[in-house]
Amino acid sequence: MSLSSEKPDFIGFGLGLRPTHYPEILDHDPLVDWFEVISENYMVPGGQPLQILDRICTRYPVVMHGVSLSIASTASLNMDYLAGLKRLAERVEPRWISDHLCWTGVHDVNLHDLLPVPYTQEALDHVTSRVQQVQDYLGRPLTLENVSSYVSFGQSEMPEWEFIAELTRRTGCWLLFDVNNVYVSAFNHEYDPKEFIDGIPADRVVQFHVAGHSHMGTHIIDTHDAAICDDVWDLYRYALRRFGPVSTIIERDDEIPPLAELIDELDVAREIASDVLGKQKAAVNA
Amino acid sequence: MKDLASLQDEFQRAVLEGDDAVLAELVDTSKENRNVLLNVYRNAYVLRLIDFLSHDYEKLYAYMGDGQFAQMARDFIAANPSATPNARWFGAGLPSFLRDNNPYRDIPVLADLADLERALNDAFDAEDAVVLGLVDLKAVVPDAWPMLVFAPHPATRRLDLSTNAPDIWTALHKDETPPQPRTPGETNQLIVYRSDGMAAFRPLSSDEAMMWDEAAKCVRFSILCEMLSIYGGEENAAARAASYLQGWINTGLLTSVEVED
Repeated sequence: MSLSSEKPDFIGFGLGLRPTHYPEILDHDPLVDWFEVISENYMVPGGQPLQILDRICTRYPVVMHGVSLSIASTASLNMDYLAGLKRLAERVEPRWISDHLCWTGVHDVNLHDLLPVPYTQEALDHVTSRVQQVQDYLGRPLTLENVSSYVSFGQSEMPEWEFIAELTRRTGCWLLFDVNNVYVSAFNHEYDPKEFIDGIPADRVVQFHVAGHSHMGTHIIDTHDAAICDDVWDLYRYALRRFGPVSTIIERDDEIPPLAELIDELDVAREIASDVLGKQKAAVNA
Repeated sequence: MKDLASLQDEFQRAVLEGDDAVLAELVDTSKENRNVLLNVYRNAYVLRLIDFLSHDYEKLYAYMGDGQFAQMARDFIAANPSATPNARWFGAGLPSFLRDNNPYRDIPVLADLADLERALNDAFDAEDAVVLGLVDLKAVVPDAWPMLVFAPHPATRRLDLSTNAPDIWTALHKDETPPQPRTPGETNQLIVYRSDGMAAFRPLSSDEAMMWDEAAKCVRFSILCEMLSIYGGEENAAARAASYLQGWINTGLLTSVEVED
């Protein structure tokens, strides 16, 4: 059973909220349409992090983005974690709640990494069941993000995009489509990233991530510590053509530059979207 | 075909223990072999957890330096795989690890520094609660004062450290060269608290530390005064108690006061 829900509205161009930018955001209300917050950073008892988050929520739309749901793990769902996530969602009232299509550990261990999934029917059945349980508990659809991966499994029975497309069909979950992750995984696993984009149901995508990465020659690592490269912007352009207007953020987790620099990078996303979507609109009106 | 649970078990053992069994389930690419690609996860695991620790224990990191901190962190990570979904709590066990394990237990200042940093971190995002003000105390009728019991604010922490770790922390905080580690003989008694949203600490005299510890156990004010007179001398015991109490209120250490029948 999947939860029915209206597709969240397009909310424009945002940034990942990072503590180093708190003072500037609170003092100057920068021209950012919305913020994505790392859920776990605010799953704490109290104090300044939650107080600042409350203030940001009064000024900007906010989306919650987690890293520890471990939706593909064969371990039991962590109900304490889910209860904390639900409490935070009641406080934040986010536009949507996202996490990653991955697992983070088994046997009560958390590796704090976004670990790869074999694209098998067994894994699909398992993840489907878990997504349904989490959606029922939270009382709302989840939004799941495709991760960067560095290894692939010989037992996989379908490409990643087929796995994701079927998962959304079965569960009604939304997709956070990480353009950089598709670029990274496509390079690492030697497929055409456009084939991935073409295989994703356009009506399920509610958010884009764009980010930088580190090229190691034989493989690419998703480091979020650099400016976005031209190839990823090109793929973003292609994704916009396929998916239409999708709420977008720049993700930066390391070597975090001043806010103004990220806003400049966000303006690049705005310009590309305006260019692509403006032309689409012109084509429709012609 | 290996089932999903077995595959995840093997993958996790590859990351945690260096076990290579999962390589049989992975494929090479035309550019790279599977072992190198698997090592991306192995390396990221350790580096990410070292990064968590270096942020949570930034003074300890500065004090030990890159190389020694990284080695210590690797030892901790190997002995304490994370069991929490929230990285915020991963390093909570570091002070006791340093106190209990060689070679770190022979350098007690390391555990003391870690204890202090953990207490500051915990104070920073501790549960919110109202802060008792002087006006609340002024509302108490004089006859009720002997029966007063106080509740510490949830952000407060008491620490007893055997070394000069607080001086080292302070020097590092000011970007100054830290003093040589010492074990002065007298315990460094500290209270850690939250003020204007930020975590802070200050030393307590043994007199004040004793009164705080007893007050935190809901001992009545009249008995606190008696204990002070026994512990620190009869002279001005009530005045000392009142002075300590005023200091606690001024720095937001208490959340409530009640009159116990």
